[in-house]
Amino acid sequence: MSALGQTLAVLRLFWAQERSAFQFLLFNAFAMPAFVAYLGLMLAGGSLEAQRWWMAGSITLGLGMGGLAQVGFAVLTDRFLGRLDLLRSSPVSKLAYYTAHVSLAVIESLALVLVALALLTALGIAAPGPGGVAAGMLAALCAGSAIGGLGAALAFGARDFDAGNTAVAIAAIGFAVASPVFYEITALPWALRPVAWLSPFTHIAPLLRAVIAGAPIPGGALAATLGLALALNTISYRLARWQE
Amino acid sequence: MSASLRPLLGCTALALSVNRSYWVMNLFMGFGMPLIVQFVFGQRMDAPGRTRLLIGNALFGVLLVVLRKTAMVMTSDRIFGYRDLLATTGLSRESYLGTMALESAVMALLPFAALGFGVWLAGVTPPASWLWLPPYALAVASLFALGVCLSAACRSLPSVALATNLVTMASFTLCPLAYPAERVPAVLAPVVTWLPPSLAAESMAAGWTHAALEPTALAALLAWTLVFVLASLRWFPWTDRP
Repeated sequence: MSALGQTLAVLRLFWAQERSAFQFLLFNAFAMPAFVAYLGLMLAGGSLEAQRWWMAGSITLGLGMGGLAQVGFAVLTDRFLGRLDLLRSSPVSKLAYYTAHVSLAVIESLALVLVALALLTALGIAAPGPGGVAAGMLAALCAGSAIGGLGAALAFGARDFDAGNTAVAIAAIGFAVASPVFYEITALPWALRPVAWLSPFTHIAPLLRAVIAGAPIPGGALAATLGLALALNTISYRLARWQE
Repeated sequence: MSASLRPLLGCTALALSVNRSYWVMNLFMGFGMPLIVQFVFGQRMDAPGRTRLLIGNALFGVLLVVLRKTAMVMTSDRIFGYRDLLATTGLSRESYLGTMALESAVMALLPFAALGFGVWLAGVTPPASWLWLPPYALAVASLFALGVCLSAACRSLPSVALATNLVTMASFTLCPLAYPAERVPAVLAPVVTWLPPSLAAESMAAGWTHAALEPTALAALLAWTLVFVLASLRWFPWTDRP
């Protein structure tokens, strides 16, 4: 077989193995937020304010589900289907492996925010200026890396596939729903508010609401998003066990 | 403690300790999620809206702990070789499917309990009759059989996760489970109103308020259930050829 034939055969094999993972990524990044946004429109009725509120919440939910579930599930399948053992036996480092997966989550987050903003602008729901688009991209970068890293840490810490799958699913949904994304933080009991402040979604949601409405970007939310992304990535990388 | 009770409690404790994460997951998906969604989104709704949302949330719970769980567990049993292992013990395909069906019936008690807690804690009007139970049971049966069909069609964990996520989210958002059927866009209405989750939600809502059940909707739901059951019996593979 010629070199070109071999390359094509490898590419075919790679596509056969990774097609479903790629489709999974597309679902989390695009279909999931679209479904939630549609539900929001059906529940909210016609007011522009309610639509904007739901859209910001849906994008935030998509960032969380996408980053955490995508990276967590990818690392889990790598670990428990033996691919990680293969990688460990090659000169691939923990940092390279972690960065590759987190980078995918970041790319997915950036694509989600860009596509969502373009669609919402075309529909007349969003009015982001250039500064708003930049702030949205920064929020996507922070969310993708922080939440993707958390997914990796959970998957590395799991004792078996089922336990890891449970932890990743609960964290992905729990983080997004338990954070004040679809409701005001004042609706939470006092005791839970400090915990909510530690969730990146608590800060990303108002940031995206401002971006969609074309309002000034809240500096506090932006700083908190950046700070939490740095802290979560540091913690997640340290928690990720490379050797079994 | 009686002699017959001890082994039962022992088996339950063993099952819980061996597969604790599985129980935690289903408790969260089938009981926690419907209630969380109810508390988050039901706050600003009127009484009929809250009832509708609670019924939709319970069906969302069924989608998660019956359809998603069945498809994921059966595919994971297939991929990790547990079905091949069980086949060597002489267990038949029908016994395996029957056990899974029984387990799904038990799991369906979780959204059922969420309905009760929704009435108790979330200010939802209690049901005026028990007529909502038959459509609920049909929804559980049809979604279980659909889960079996999905597991028969999928040969990898990412593909079954994708398929179940797609079916679950499309059912919860496109079908009018949590909002009135009148809000469905005209272009989608002819299709989505005849899908099993929509038929179940409509019939349950009618039964809940003691309105007359629509016989056509119940018959259509029964027909979907039979189609899915027959398809799962026809196409579910017990073991894969080496």
